[in-house]
Amino acid sequence: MNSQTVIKLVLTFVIYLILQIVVIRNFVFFDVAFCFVYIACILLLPDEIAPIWVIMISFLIGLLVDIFYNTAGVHASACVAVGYLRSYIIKFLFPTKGVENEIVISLKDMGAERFVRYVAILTIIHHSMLFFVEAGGFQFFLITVLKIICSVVFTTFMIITLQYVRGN
Amino acid sequence: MSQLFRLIFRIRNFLLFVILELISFWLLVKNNHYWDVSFFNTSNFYAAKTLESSNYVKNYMNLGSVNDQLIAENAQLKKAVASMQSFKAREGDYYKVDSTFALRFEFKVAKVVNNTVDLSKNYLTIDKGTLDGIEPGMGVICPQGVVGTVMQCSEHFSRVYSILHSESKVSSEIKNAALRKKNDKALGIAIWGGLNPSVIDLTTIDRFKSIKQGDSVVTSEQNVIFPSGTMLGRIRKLSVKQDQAFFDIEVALATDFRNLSYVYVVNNKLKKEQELLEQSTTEVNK
Repeated sequence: MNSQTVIKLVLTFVIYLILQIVVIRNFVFFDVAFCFVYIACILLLPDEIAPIWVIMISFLIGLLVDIFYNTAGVHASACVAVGYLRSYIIKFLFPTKGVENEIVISLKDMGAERFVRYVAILTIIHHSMLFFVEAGGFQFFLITVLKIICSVVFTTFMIITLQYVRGN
Repeated sequence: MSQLFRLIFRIRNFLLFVILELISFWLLVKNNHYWDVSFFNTSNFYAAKTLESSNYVKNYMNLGSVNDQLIAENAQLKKAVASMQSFKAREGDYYKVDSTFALRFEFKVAKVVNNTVDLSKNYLTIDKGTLDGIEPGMGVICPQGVVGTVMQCSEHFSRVYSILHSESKVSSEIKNAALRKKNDKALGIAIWGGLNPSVIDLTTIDRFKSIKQGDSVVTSEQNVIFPSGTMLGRIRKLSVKQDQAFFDIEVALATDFRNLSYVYVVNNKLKKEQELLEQSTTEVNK
């Protein structure tokens, strides 16, 4: 990994976090559909980064978002789960990895269908963790599940739209 | 020994995952009671500053509704002044309000810089802190009604428990003509159900009280934090189950939490004295 990739990565982080904190924080539809587009930072990390670093980076991103949302630990715990499970999901979705070729995680290189599946699975993990931890257990079970479903659709849609915008 | 190290090395990702999750949950649990003051003062100062500047633009767009709020409040204040003057005119009242007690509430205006309404534990951040004399435990109201309680303060900012918080409780009472005529009171506790940011549940109201839909719900006289009679909302739905002693009451909140811009922080100057006294009497009783 050369310094150019690193700079590009850091820039992506900054853009996504600013987008999340300044703009998208204010978009909530019907009290249930939230958008946490910042998790794209974690999802789009290159596959060559060692899992241990992915987990560390996820934790830091989650903590940063927590500071702005006034929710110490909620986003951090969800992000760490995503960071940890990411490598397993990649292995599960792309069993040929390392045999045929290295995978590049982006819409262009993976194809729309595989990319959507990848983003959706990790978003479901993140949002389930996030909303259940935030609700402090299962006492608001149905409303939490509704929030999760609506937000997963919203976030996945946003991440993929942003990928298209960036690609062009 | 080397095998042990090899094992640790092999499951290092999982170990790191577990450790970071533990840290997250530790933060979470600690945050529910008391956010580390140093953390709040340093990094959160910049966080609040950023949010403040992002709210700057939003404020301009809200000016219209802020104006409406102020006009409505002015009207209400005028009404209050008038009613107070009429009180003075009445002579021969056997109960005289002590001026220290009557003037115990102080109000400070603050601007909301961060606010959530859609979580199950909601907080606000306001732009006044210890330097402006804000202390944890003070009440926060807005022209329309009750907002919450100050949770902790840094020098320039304070964090407020919204009443839209699954653990916040407000001692309140129902006001209507029928109750006043009977010289009766309907005291209850308002608790948020965790779902709709415009509705709060009112509990422990006796099913034999004469109340109906549309009655206003205000903070009670037994409330130490909020001035009594601060508007909470109006009864939206009223029902009672066969085997229950209390009404199930849904109150439509007067405060529009989505469009909060300016709030008043209420300081009860006699709160400490009252609490100290109540504490000492319970000790004697033991």
